[in-house]
Amino acid sequence: MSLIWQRGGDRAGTHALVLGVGFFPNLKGQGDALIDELQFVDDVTSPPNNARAVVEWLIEAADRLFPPLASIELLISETDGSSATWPIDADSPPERTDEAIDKATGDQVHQALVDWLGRAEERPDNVALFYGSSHGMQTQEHILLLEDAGAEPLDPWRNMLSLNHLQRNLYAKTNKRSVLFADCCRDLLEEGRDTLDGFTGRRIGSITAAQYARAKSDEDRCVYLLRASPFGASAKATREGLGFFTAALLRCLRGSAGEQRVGFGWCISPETLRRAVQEAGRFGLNIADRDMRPEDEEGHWVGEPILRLEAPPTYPVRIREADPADVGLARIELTHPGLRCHLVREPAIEPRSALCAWVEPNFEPYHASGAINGGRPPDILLEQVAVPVSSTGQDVRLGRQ
Amino acid sequence: MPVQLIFVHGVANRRDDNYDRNVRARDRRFEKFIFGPGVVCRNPYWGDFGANPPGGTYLSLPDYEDPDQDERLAVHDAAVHAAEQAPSLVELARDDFPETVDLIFAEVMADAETDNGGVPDDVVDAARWVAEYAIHEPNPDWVRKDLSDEQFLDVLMRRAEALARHESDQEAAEVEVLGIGSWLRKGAKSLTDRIRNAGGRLVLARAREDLHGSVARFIGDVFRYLKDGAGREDIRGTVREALKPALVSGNKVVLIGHSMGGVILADCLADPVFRQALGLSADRRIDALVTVGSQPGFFEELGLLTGSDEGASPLDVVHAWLNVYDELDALSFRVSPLFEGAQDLRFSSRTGIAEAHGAYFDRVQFYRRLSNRLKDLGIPVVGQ
Repeated sequence: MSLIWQRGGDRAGTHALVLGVGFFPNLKGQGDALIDELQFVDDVTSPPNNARAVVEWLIEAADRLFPPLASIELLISETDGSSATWPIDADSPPERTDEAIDKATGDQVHQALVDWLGRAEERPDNVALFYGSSHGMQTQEHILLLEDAGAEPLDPWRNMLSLNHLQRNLYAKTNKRSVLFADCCRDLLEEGRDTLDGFTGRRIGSITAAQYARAKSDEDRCVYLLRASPFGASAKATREGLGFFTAALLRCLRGSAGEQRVGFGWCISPETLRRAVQEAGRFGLNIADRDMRPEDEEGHWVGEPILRLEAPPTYPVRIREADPADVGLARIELTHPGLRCHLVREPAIEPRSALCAWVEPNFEPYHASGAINGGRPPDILLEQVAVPVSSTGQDVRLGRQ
Repeated sequence: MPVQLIFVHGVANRRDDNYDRNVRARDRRFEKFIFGPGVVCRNPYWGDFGANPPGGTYLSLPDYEDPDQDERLAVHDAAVHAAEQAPSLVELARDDFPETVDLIFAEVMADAETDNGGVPDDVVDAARWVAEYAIHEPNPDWVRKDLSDEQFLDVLMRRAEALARHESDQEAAEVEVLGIGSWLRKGAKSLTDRIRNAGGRLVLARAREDLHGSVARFIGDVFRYLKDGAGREDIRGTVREALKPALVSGNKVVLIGHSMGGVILADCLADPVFRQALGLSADRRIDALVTVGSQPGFFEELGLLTGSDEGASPLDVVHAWLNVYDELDALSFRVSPLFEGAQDLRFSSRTGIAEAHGAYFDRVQFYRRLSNRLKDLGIPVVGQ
């Protein structure tokens, strides 16, 4: 079964549905009916890991979510086709007697969507939270592939999910707020753009244009969607590890997207997430991927945040040499006398990594400096730069003085 | 400063949709892979002055539509290739990695141009990276592994992209993409389909009929140019008119001649009348002459080029002459034994004998290598 975690109680709750798909057995050249781009699709390792990592975070943050976590549906298609498991614990529903969890096939995802929405729609103040990671593609809609994508010769698109469809139709649900995260590509498919007009992936309703317009003008109704990459760009991942986007997102949800709000203290709201995830990926995790540009839809979010933080946030700072010829050659320092912060990156040709750090916000700026061949006296001094860290990350390039 | 490029086509080119499409595609490749957006491409067309038999075909050619029209002398027809299993990409790569990736990208570029009318920037970027990677690592260890075509393409792209981003192989091996790289797979599939359709052989000889017709057109156009008279003068005039504005522009001028086009250029540049008409001299030279799959060396050896007897050379009015030939291209010849100072460059297209003559301008590696050579000559190229 896919319901792995549940807490009852007559109160508002956050209901999560988490998908991680790494296995695509029907996209290995069997189907001439499929568009060219879907004839051969590799299995991938990161989506199942992403899904597990998101669930771990959800459980860790269960009581700090607004409203508190109430349920998790988890479906995973492991890269090698084996069954995924999740341990049974005190918060497992009583009917769960087996550690095996459902695979993310079209039918099982459809059932999970029905169950997830059934719980989320019990109260208007519930939050529906969706996380999906798989291969993705961009046609008229942004599409997420499920395990048995391509298995139906007469309806090759059936076992796929449209993120646009999910977002639009969540506006028509009883619960007024929903959050969707998607770690998958948005590569444009030329052939797909022509042939997917009648996209028939798994559906959760059929909102009309008028309903959609009315729902969007409802001030306290918000459906926030954050995707790993912009239109036409790829999402990448660390093989056997996490997606770049998911790694940065989790880092943000664990603190670096935090802001202070009256009545909530340090907390996270969706409006700040897009930039925070991009900065966390680029500056904090030093991901050198030009497609690491998350894109959100419906940044508007009213009312309470989605998460309260346990501690003040830390923001990402990256310090590196400005001149490509200097990269890796300098001894770079980041200091803050008041905070007793003194971080150093020694010269290193390989790997050519920058000084990347997560630092506390402070009214007084940090100071970045560097020197090449840094003996005494140093041969070449780099600029000394004041680095203000108050609510966002910073990327600093040090030129020669 | 934009480069002025004059491309003189070879024999058997006649203006039709296919010719125009080829010119557009080639111009785009010169722009994307060598000269950058400012390049001014001129393509003087001389096909109308070539040999044009009435009705478009030579009566002396056998009729392949009706092979029984003549009494059969042969005991039997040549056997067609027995069908055999096509080699996988990694098997081809073990044999010759750089040429295999070049073949894949030739298909990718052809597909991209056919489908969209232009080559998307990401395809161009990838083609550059892969060409660079194949030069940097011509015999990588990883092709020894047993890889499916999909895995081969996956590893190839990751490593090429990593090289472009100055990452180590180790870092590249750790990245996976959550999307489906369509154009690359499509190109690879086109390549493997072609190999399968050819009976499992990489040598993709076209039908004899095509070859026979091509040879007839080739010989016809060559004789038309070599015969002193209106045909040759018209062709020279066409080239001269294309060269004039390029020389007046004050920009760097590169002349490229394919096949007979190279002969025409070499012949014109050795001709005192042609030189005088354009003001070319030892003090006013063309920046580079590139002959590709061409025969000026052979014609010079036969004493058929203008100025052969007087020892005239295109290099009198050209700073540098690069001559590209392919061992498989039976119509390409060297020039350095005949013209002192000219430089021969070998390019292996690894296609069939019949295809090699036209394959140069389909290959990313060709543009990549030519770009490096032109850069050495001080010609502005992209990616400097």
